[in-house]
Amino acid sequence: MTFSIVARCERTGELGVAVSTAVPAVGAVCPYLRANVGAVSTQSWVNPYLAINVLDLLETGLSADQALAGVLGTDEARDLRQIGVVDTQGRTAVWTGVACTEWAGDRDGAGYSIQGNMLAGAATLDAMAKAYENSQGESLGERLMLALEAGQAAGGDKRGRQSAAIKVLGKEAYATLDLRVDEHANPVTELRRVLEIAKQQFVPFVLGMPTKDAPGRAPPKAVMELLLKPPAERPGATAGRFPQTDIEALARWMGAEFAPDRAQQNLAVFQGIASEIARLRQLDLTDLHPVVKFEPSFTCAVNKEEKHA
Amino acid sequence: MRDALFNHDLAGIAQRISDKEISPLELTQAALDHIEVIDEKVQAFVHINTDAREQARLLTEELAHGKYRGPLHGVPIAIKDNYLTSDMPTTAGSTADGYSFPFEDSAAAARLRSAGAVLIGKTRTHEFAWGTETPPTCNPWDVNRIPGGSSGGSGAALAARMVFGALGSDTGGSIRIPASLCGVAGLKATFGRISRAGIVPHSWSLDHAGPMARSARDTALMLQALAGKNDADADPATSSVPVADYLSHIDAGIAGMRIGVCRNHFFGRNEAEVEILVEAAISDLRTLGAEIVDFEIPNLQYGLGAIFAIELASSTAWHDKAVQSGATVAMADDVRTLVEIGRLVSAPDYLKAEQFRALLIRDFEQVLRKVDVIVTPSSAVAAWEKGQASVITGGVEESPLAASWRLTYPYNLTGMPAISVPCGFDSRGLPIGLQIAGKMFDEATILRVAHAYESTHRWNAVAPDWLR
Repeated sequence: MTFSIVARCERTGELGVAVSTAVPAVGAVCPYLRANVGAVSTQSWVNPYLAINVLDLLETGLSADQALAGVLGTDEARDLRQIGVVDTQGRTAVWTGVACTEWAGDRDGAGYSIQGNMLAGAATLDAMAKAYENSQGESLGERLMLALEAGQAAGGDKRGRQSAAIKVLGKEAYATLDLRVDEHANPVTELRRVLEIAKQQFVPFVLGMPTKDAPGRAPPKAVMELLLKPPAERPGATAGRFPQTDIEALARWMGAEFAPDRAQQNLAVFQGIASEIARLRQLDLTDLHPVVKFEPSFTCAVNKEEKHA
Repeated sequence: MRDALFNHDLAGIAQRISDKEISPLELTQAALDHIEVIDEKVQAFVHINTDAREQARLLTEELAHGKYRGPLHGVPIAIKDNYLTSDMPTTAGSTADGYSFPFEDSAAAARLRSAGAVLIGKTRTHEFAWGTETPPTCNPWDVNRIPGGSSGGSGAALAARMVFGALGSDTGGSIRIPASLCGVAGLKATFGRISRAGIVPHSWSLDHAGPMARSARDTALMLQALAGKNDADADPATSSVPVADYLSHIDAGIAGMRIGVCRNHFFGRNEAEVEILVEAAISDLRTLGAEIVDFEIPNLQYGLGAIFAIELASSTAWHDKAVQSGATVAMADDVRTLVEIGRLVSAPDYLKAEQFRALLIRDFEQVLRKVDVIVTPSSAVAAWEKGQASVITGGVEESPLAASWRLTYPYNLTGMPAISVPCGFDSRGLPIGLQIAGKMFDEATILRVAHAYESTHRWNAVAPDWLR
């Protein structure tokens, strides 16, 4: 019922998880991360203890493989589970139970594991792997987001979409990035919108927090100035603009959802017309009452000659 | 034979029939033969009536028995393919799924039939009457050019002398534009003057019916048969205003008449030669004894938004089933876009456009208290080449569609009657049209002015070289 990626950044050592599904609040259910230990996504018919226990075993020094093998034996319903694990050395382990709803599967890569079930098809996982592999210069958060977007674009969860989450930990015990969209018509698109704001308003804030090495650290002046401003005045603010998702909702309400290959042309043609109609709106016509006539009659309503088959 | 017969206008051929110099059957057979030769090149017809000879035979018999129905008796007339007909299929120019049109006469086709016309075929329309090019029909004055539209098949059939009259329909200029571009006469009667029952709807409050022919007098002959409310008229907009006599004063001349010229909106954004020829026509009208009165209607600047709001919303409402089912996929690209984007027009904008029409009607009413008719060009541009992306009007580049209907749609918004008659040829040999509009239900006066003007140059009698 989910597609996800767990990964370790080989440049920074950061650990991360990104996940989306057609159930609310996936961010509260699937991702489990522990600083300097590992990152896990536990999914399908979820057993949270698999993830918690895997992290406990990783913390004792076991590898991802050993830790996963260690916990699966304790779960009699393991055929219903799916779990992906990455440890601090970038070793991965993944389990897709045979009873996971089709299409289900996983992709094991260098420093990452991608897993999904109840998918539209295998293309979702392949697209995620390709997006992750092809973005090596980017931050881990960005790479995970790109993978999630590619997975959604390639089909995603076959039931539809509802929530998405992304979480990244560095060396500190708290997350450097921890974003969730708990209920939305286009959760991955919305998560991207939130991520873009977070990159400018949240990430600098977290990077200025106290660390184990500098527990008494004050926030940088620039960050304080930034966060003292109202959200709409900060860089990246989208307040007052129309996010794509709102435009899509408006189109749905108006019954104006055009075929994907027609939307651009239809909007381009209407753009010029819209400006003419806007000109009409400048007129104050309050005192004019046009002949919009209701004529009760049993004969005029239907022109029987014209009908759709 | 061909030249002699087909150089007649409707009034002329009617005279020969009533004089029994030619029978309806002989004329119809000649017309069918003529169409077979000519239409291969012009492609004005989408269907030829296999029953036309039989209709003509019956009308010939009637005549032999002394029954003469009037000037349309035995005269081949073409019907635009968005009018239902009992003996010919109707397609409205479309092959999209989900539409089916019964074999029944529209009110106008029935009127022509009972007046004795031989309904010889169906002429091409731009798909669902939503455009001004009418592919694949060619303009007889230059077959590489479009005939205008949406009644392009009717305009081309008349210009190529294949019929003596034709029906058109006009929502934003669809009678007057092809009339102008093809060098024939086209009359959009007052809204409600001719029943639209049995015409495939495009935009209920803008759709007008009307005749097209080779002279103003011919359109008057047809209008006389077409005008008026029918018993149990299925078009609720058909008016009960008494039908005038359109012919008895058509020769009365225009001496002393006051002719208005709307100097904004209709001038300044036309092809240069359009302005020159229309100014010459205005000067001719003065010579004929009319007083020319210039005026302006500033509110015309809001007209384009208003007609788009109404036409788009109405069209999409009527096509809603096709829009929802995805049947629009089979429509031509331009038509599909227009049919789909009506969804984007809001109801308040639609209703504000209806309010604006009341304002525009008031403006024109004030002018028409001081003048008898209003003359302007019919189209800002002459016929453009097939596939031509832009035209130059007033030194500015714009799309042919935008240019072609600018001068016609104001009268769809007001509902006033308006006719286009030829007023000469540009240096490329392409016809240019003069538009004459008048008071509500006063078709008689605009026909009188059109007929007087026509008599000065007889532009309408000139045929394309290859037909001579």
